[in-house]
Amino acid sequence: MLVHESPSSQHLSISTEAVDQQEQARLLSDGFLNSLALLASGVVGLVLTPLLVHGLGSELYGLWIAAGSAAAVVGLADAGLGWSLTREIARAETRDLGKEAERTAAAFLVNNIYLVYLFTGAAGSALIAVFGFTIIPRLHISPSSLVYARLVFLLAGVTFLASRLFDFGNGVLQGLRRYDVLSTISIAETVISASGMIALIFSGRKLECLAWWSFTSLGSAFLTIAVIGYLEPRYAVRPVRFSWNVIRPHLHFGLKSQLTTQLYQAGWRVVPLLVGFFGGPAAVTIYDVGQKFPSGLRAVSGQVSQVIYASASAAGTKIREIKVEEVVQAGLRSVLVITTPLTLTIAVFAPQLLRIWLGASAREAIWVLRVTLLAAWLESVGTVPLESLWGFGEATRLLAVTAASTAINLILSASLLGSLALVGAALGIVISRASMLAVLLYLVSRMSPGKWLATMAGACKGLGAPTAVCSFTLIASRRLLTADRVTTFGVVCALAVSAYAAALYSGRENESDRLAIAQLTLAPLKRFAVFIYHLLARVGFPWSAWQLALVRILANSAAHVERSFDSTFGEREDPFGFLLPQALARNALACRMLDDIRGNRPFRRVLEAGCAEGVVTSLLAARCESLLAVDVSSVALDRARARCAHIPHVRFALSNLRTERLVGKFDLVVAMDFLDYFYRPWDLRRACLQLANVLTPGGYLFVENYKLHYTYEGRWWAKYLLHGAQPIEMLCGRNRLLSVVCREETDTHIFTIFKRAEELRPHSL
Amino acid sequence: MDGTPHEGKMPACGNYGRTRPSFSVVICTRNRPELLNRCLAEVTRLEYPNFEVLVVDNAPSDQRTLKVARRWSTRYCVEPEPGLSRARNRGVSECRSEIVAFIDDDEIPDPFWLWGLAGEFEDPLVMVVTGRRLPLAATKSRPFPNGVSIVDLGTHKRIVDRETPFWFEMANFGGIGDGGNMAFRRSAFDIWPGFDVRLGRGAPICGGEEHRAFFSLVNLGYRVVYTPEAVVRHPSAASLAELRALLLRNTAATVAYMALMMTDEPQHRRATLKYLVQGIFGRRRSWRCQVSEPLLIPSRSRKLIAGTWGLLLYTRMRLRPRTYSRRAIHLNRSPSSCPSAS
Repeated sequence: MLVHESPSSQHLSISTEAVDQQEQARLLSDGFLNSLALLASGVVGLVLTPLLVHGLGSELYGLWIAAGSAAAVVGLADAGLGWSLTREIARAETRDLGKEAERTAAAFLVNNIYLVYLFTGAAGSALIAVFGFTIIPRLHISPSSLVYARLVFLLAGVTFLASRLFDFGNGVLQGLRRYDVLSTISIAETVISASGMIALIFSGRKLECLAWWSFTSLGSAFLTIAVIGYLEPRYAVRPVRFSWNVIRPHLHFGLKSQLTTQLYQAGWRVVPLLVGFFGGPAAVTIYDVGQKFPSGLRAVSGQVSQVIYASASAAGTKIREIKVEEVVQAGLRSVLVITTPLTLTIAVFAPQLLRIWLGASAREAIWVLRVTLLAAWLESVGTVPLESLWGFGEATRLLAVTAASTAINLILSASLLGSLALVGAALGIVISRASMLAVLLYLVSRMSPGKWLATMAGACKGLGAPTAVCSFTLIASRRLLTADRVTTFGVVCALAVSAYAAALYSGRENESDRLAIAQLTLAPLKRFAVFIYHLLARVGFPWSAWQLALVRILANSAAHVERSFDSTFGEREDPFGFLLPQALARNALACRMLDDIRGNRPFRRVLEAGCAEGVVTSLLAARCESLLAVDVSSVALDRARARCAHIPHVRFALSNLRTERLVGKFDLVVAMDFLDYFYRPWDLRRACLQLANVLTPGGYLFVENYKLHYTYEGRWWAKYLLHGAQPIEMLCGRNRLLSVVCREETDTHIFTIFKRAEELRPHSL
Repeated sequence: MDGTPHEGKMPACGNYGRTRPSFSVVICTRNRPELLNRCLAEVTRLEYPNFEVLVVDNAPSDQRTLKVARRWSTRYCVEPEPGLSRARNRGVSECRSEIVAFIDDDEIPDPFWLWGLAGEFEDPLVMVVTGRRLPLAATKSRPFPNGVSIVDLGTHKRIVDRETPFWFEMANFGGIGDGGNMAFRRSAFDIWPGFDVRLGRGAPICGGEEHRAFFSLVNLGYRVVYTPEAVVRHPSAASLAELRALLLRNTAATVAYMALMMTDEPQHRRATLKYLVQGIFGRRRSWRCQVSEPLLIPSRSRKLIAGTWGLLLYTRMRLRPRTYSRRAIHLNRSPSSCPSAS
């Protein structure tokens, strides 16, 4: 062995190792994502079904179910073209060069198959409608519901068309291996349709509720198709002339696949019928309850292993030995990693739950549960070679194997049912699945003479510790689960699963698991954060502006403003630069504006809000008979008093307009560099209102503010944030009593004089 | 005049008084309100008939800068994305004057600074005028009054265009002045996309944006003038360690800048390479005005490490194509200032 290993082959094995890990991680995360959609619809179904039964009334609900089952029957006539679609696209989309011809062919196939789906969907829905119309007179429906009955069947037809189209999109997206998109769309559809239906039911609209269901599913189907065009414009649906020759080569594979799928399901579906036939309906109930949880496991493992099909199809173009092993190992790993905690949870908790639900008759159900759980687990392992072989194109063999296994299953179940009762029926499934697993593994190993034991061991490597941790958590918390504390179940499960994931992440046996877990947990969080950031940037609210506005609003309580002004004035004299030449020039401009307005006579009573150190106060004092100057800072007021000590008709007062009310009447109110220190919008609004209210009729309000940048002033939120000169001016202008009489604007400031209207009087003649 | 700048009195020579284009003094700052306060105290008192002052607050985390700008009654605007180039572009897009002068927030201009710059703009081909940078007077905390970190280009006027020998080197590697003291014709921003946002403080490559600007404009056929009559004072490094760090950072930035030139200007690849090789062999440049070789404070090995770091900076910048792609350079201009929009 060692002799044959040349450096180049070593190099090759190293590089394939790397590929393998990427692929493994991808399969794992894809599988998880694919089963998420199932989980979501399961949870929603749990909530929705009782609501629907209650809200629609049993008759309408029954009608809807009947229509749905008619659709299911029509759907059986599927040619399995979805499988071919996935396979061809996955093959064409591998990263190898020189695939352009194949891709073009695949695109052509996509369009043709779309036509087939559209046609069968339309024909099927017509069929359902016709079926409904003929059968309705024979159903014994009350006259009130009879009005709706036809519509219900029509809606079922629409839903059928939607499901066909969605199947098409599903096939293409699976081929592209975009399971994230697929599950996002499904989850979104589930949530939207369920929430809409719940709302409609509670408002008592039954038929609209069903219509909502149909049309959301139709919408999601079209959305899927649109998304395909966006992701891969090559596969966008465009009008082509239908060509039978394109479809025909794939029909074989598709039909076989469809048959295999149906046969594969038949084992599980027919056995309950057998049980009912021999044991009576009571036995069916027990059997059905017993296999409830294992069928959940089956569904999840089915979703997980669906991912393998596309991967195997992609690999199947170039079957090297290493490739087959790789696919099987990666697939097995992903299935084992995902199903193990689920299996453990069912094994530990389900018997207890059954005991709570069923009471005395639980014993037999628990046995059924155990045996079918084993069968489901065998099946979930068996799906890996099954889907791989399928992807490699071995549909005929699979059909044979599945048919034989199903036959064994039915015969064994029927014969063991007599001797071992329900457990025997379940044992039949176990034996058939075990034999099928063995045969499939044999078939896969025939494809490449590799080291298969090593492959299997590689798939299970490093799973021991996480499994132990998970089962320990579950068994330790088993006693918590009692009849009155069923809700703790969810908490314990989440705990166990996270312990499992943590153990898997911290155990350094397998790098691909770490990769997948990181992809599934950290990447979406990061993506979400980036999305929010870009969203904010898109609406024109960059983060720093955001931050600044938030800080300004949150940090400026009334008490804080007083303290901060006191400390600012305490640090030095003239901290705001009111004695600088620029400020003096502004004051001169302000005085000129005031002089223009008042003419020759002086103002009588004047209020100066925010006098600071009294620079403007002395200028105003020369233009009025009495002046009240208020400010929020006592330190500043002391200096202002000193500055204006020689002027007798000036009074100073300490007042914070954020908390206190102004009293009195003034014919001029001056607010220079005042209002834009009200950082909280609600404070500012109140202050503006107060300033307008203390004016006598015909009095003037003089406002001067500093212009902020466009980022604050020019955007749509400026009228809510109210920072900067322009929004404040607009706020004052919105007061119905005030109107602008004079306005000046410099590079940095806006000066406005408002005049208060004469008192509004009722019309009188 | 032997290098001593005029102290507060109007110099007799030069073009003073003949042309007086309107000026905007753009000061880009980031969380340094004390320095800005000192700078604004001088800038608002400049001797010039028509000029406005614009403070560009780059990615602010509080409103101290706003308060300082307001105290001095200057215009104020915010550039939310960090980066000196972005801030300068924002400043240009916000002002409406004929000439835009840039000064760093830690510098102090001489009273006749704008007059010195204005005189050179008579020539319509002159797009950029740079001025002289001198160290602030020595204090106890600043023992290097003749700070080595500031390159003094001397008392002779320099006019650089495509005919000047060594124009490529002079434009790209500090032969015509520095970003702390320069003025652009506003119309230059209509023929040229503005400062490269990949360069400059706060961007991946921490320097060289003004050199790239000089180079682009000279390469387009315009003139860049260095005048010794426009003087600003720059504080020198406070300690030896700071000085060393500054020099090493400059080295890294220069190397990264060279890498950028090598990839972005394929026609001038040979010239860049030549400059690099000559620099490695310690060639004296005729246009460098340094009388004595500055103290070799960082050792050669440290310089080598800094150069490698510069290459890493460049690589990092390249690995973020979305943020710093060539397209993104133009996106920074606000729609209001775009000539096509108006």
